[in-house]
Amino acid sequence: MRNACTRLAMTASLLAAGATMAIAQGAGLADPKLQASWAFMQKEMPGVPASLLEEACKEGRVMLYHGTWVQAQDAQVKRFQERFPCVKVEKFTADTGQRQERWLAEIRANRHVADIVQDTDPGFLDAQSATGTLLEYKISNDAAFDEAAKRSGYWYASRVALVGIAWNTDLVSDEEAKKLLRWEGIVDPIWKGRAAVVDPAAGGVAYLPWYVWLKQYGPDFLQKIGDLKPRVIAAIVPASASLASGDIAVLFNASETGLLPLLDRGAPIRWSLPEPGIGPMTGQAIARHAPHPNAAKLFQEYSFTEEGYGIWQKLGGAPARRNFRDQRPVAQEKWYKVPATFAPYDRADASTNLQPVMDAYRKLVARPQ
Amino acid sequence: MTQTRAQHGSFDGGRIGGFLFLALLLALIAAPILYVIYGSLRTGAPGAADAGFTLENWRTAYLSSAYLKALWNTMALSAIVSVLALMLGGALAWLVARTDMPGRTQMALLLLVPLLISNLITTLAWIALAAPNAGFLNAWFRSMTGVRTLFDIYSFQGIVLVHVLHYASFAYLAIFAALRSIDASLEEASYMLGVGPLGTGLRMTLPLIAPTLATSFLIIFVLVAENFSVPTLLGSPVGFHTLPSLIYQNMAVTPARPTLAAAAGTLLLWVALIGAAIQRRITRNASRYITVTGKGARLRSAKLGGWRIPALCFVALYLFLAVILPYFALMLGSFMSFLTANIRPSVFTLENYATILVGDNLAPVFNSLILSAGGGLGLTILYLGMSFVLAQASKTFARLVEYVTILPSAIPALILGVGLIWTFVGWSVPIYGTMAILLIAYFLRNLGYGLRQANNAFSQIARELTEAARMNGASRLRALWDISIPLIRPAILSLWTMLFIFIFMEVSATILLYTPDTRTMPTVLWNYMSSGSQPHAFAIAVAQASLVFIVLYLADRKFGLLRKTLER
Amino acid sequence: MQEIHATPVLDVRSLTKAFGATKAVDDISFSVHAGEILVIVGGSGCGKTTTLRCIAGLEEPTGGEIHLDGVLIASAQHSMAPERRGIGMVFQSYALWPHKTIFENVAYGLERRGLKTQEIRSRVDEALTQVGLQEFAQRFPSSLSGGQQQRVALARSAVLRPKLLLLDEPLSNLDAKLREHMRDELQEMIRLFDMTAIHITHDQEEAMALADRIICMRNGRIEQIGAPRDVYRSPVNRYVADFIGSSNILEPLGIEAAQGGSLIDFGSVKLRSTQAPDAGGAKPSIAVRVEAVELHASAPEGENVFAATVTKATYLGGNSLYRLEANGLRLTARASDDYTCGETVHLRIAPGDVRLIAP
Ligand SMILES: Nc1ncnc2c1ncn2[C@@H]1O[C@H](COP(=O)(O)OP(=O)(O)OP(=O)(O)O)[C@@H](O)[C@H]1O
Ligand SMILES: [Mg+2]
Repeated sequence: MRNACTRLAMTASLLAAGATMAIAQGAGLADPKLQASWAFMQKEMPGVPASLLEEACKEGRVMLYHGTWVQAQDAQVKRFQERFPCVKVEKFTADTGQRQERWLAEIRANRHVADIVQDTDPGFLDAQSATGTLLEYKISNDAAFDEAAKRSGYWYASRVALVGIAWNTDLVSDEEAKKLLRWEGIVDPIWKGRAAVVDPAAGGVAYLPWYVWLKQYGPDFLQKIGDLKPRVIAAIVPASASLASGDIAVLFNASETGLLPLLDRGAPIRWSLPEPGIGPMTGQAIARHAPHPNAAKLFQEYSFTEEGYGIWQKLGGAPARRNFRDQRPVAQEKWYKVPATFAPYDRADASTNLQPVMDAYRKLVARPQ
Repeated sequence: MTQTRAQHGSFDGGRIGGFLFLALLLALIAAPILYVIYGSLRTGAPGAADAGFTLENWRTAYLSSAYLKALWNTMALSAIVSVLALMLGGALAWLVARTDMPGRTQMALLLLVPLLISNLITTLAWIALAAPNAGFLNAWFRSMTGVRTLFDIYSFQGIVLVHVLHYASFAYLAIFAALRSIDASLEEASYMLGVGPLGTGLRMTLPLIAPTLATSFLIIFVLVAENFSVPTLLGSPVGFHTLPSLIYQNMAVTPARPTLAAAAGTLLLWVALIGAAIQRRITRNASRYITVTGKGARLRSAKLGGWRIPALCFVALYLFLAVILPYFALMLGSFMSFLTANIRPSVFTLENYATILVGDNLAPVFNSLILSAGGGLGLTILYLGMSFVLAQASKTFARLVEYVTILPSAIPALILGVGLIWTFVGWSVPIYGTMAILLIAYFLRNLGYGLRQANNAFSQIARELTEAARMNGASRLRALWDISIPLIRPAILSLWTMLFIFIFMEVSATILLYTPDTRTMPTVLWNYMSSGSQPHAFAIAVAQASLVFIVLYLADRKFGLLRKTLER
Repeated sequence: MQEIHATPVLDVRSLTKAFGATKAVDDISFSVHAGEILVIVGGSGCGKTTTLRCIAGLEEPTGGEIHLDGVLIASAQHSMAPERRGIGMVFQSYALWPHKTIFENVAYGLERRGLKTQEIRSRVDEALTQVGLQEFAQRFPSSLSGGQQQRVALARSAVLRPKLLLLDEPLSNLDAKLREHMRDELQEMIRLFDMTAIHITHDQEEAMALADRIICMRNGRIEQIGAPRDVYRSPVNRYVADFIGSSNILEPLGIEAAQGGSLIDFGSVKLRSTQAPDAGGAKPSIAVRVEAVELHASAPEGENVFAATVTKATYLGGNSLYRLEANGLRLTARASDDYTCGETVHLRIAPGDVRLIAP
């Protein structure tokens, strides 16, 4: 008697379970706790199946290898966690060279830790997608990105890290600043003893302008920069800080990455983004052997939704998504203008030119005393 | 006349265990270094599919003028800093430990404070203070006198200043411990001969602490040679580059050149070996410096007489430059939206602290405390154990080990971190991605210092003291525990203190090896720094220094880190 | 009973200890019997301490064997740990533990043996009373005088009643007066505790006073071993003669056999010895202890009498040291008589005191 009862109860619950599953497949999802997440997905990630959410939740976590844009990343992660409480986001933050070395060493050793990787050098991500270390996954918002801002199915650009000429408004008059709207303006003798440059050896965005200047304007341009005896600063962050503090008046190869946090905090700085624009994309991709592939896909999806993108971009840099309204307060400033054209950038060419650019810089700008 | 053979003693299990332990540690030391050397001979990172052998990296590092110039700069900077830091630290230690200078008990702990902010943060603080145009100090001085710049931190002197102020404190602690354990009868003999305090200090005390001085010299030399943040930040404007700043650049450029960085790293190994050879010459006859003997010893304070106040002023001046000024800049900066000399109410904010004092940042605090207190103690025991086992090995072997152990400290932490990844990433043993790899990194980073300090500590005790214990029925380990350890307590505490501080501050290797679960305070600080927010970094630095100081203060209260040894 | 007595407490056989190329101890053999005090003397660096440390177990021998109570405790192959040997040792530097009180210093060995607190207390008290330091029990070594520290070191070893006590120049750090006093106390105490001891010293007077037997070492080897009197009277060679007592070492022109011994030719002076001409080997030297040279105002009766001039007289209190010359033969003598420089005296040396020794 007792046995029979139990069996009956079991059958009933099995039936019930089957019914719930059927509902889930139909309407999308079983677990009521996931309803909110699912609703968001349906709105912002059209076409992404509910199973991705379920699988992602089963995996329960996602590991992010990201760069040193802590505040942008933190803000985005925070919102992601609210949207998808079932996936815990873990972060490893480091400067580009170190992040790359660690990730690659792990891959070589077949120890897969990273789910999501970011990089300020799209060329690096291109190369990695070619060697098969990235997972092919086309995001639902793929169409929102131009060809230059993605390698479809591999990486998508979180931002453009724009390079410009920055000045301290306490030390440079508006009249003087007009000269700084064009790259050619930096070689004006009025900047003698007032300006600084970031050493191209700092890499990444610090290097690119030198590469472009040499290509575009020739060694003569570097010679003229050298004549101004600019202060050489080792890295972008301390250079931006020096500008904000008023220790230098002008920074020739400033990066928005360094400037934005300072402007947000009320520093008396401004910058121009002359034509042709210089600004590598910062891309994000999924690792080929991501230990949490579904959670990774979910995060990748979220990062490029209207919401996820906006949060990151607001603190991280100029948007690379087509027709995306720039969330940054600076975008509202009258003086702020994103360049219309960009200097062509070819990773292979930039790499092969590294040594010549460095040599020219050492000879013409950082002249040995 | 029966002859029985004793059953015990023919197989010394303890000794064999000891040597196995040593062999394991040596493998641990050798692996990342060999990986770095191997990597330096490759076109790509070890394990990379398309990499092959090349001498190109070595050619660049060993033959190009840029690297040779940097090598020269590195050596010159290290030598100057080490000598100055030793002189300054030695004077401070002597004044606090062995004279009747007023306020010395209070000063004892304060003199450690310069070590509680990393070199990087000290440098940023000094930039805030003495940047030529907008440094607080220069701006203030300009408003007072109209002179444009009082002191320009972007200079060779600036680099030396930042380093010397930092490492004088390091030298102070090491010498302090050595001075506390000197047999005063040796000094008394000198006083009896009518030699004054200064003469006695120079002629008697100095030779007695020679091993400590030599070790401190070596360690400061190597650490300065290895440091990249100070010369990178302060030297770039004047075109002054050291090897580590070039190495850093090799890792920063795109594409990064880790193998060239590794080759340049090997250059520093030679620098370290030369330093170790010098140190070895000075300490060769360690028994000449035995300062704890079985004969009674009394400590004696030199009477400074009329020099008491000038001495206090001297210590105060050091504290002003090494503590008050940089901490003033740090504190001020940590309450500002951004650093500026143009001080007005609107730049002040509490946001920095509000941001860092979040639950998310509690784990790093906890990790840092565990790693530096627990790990520091563990490493202290490990170094003492190594030294103890080595004392039973053959002299040639012990010397070889001593040379080898300086190497991991000499490789820039960044490269050491890369070497550790290359070594451990493929292991299935849970080391990579756990706290274990951080502890291994800290073990290696501090090995040269820790092992030598342990050696020095042991060599201060006359061998008869432990032998007497054995003649009284104590085993070797028991004699270590009952006799040696209590007798070298000041040295052990100073070693633990130093490791606690060093580990708490370590970032260059940690930044490569940490995981979300093993974040430390300095990694959080570093990431804020790199993300462009110096004020946040300053706020963390202030929190970090306060935390470390409180821990040290409590430890001093409880275990008598410095105070009790002072009252001995 | 007989058997047990015949077994020496310590038996050292062909003991060798080399540090790299140098042999600090080179194939030495000796034994120590129960209740005996053996004193080892010899020049600096001759291997005394090394020998002692091998016995203690603080060094491992490179050759030979050491037996303690018939048990092999050390050989080249194995060396019993010092703490298992039950041997006591007093170090030259006392090696008192500065962080322990006098009581704790003395009690340490008893604690290691796992004795009960009560028993430890009574035995330490007893030992401290015996060395007269019971009221210093709670003091630290640094507050004691050298002599007191030395006594503590002794008490610390004695309290364990070791089978064998090793003493490495325990008195050398004391001033002359205290040394003499402590020497007597030491002897008394060793007898009192009924211990067997090996004692190292540089001081021949100390050696004479303490020893049941003396070993004289040189370059890691034993030169002579015997009762103090025998070694003193009949040193086997120049080195021993030099070391034990002060002797005139003379180079003879020739030696010929004579009735009841030999006749030694020093040119103008000829001395008779009771020893055979080959007693000192092929080319012997002649040793005459300084106090064996008798000084007389007028020529005395007997053999080996000759005249000499006093070239120097040094008053030592009690007796004087005289430098003498007899037709080119220079001698030193110690006597209580009063002579002044330039005086002519008559010397007599008993034939038994003219010793032929190996060079
Ligand atoms: N640990 C050691 N390593 C190398 N050589 C040693 C060692 N210990 C002793 N020796 C050498 O062995 C020889 C004998 O030394 P030992 O200490 O036994 O002499 P000693 O007779 O006790 O001298 P002293 O009267 O000066 O105390 C010396 O030449 C000494 O230098
Ligand atoms: Mg000796």
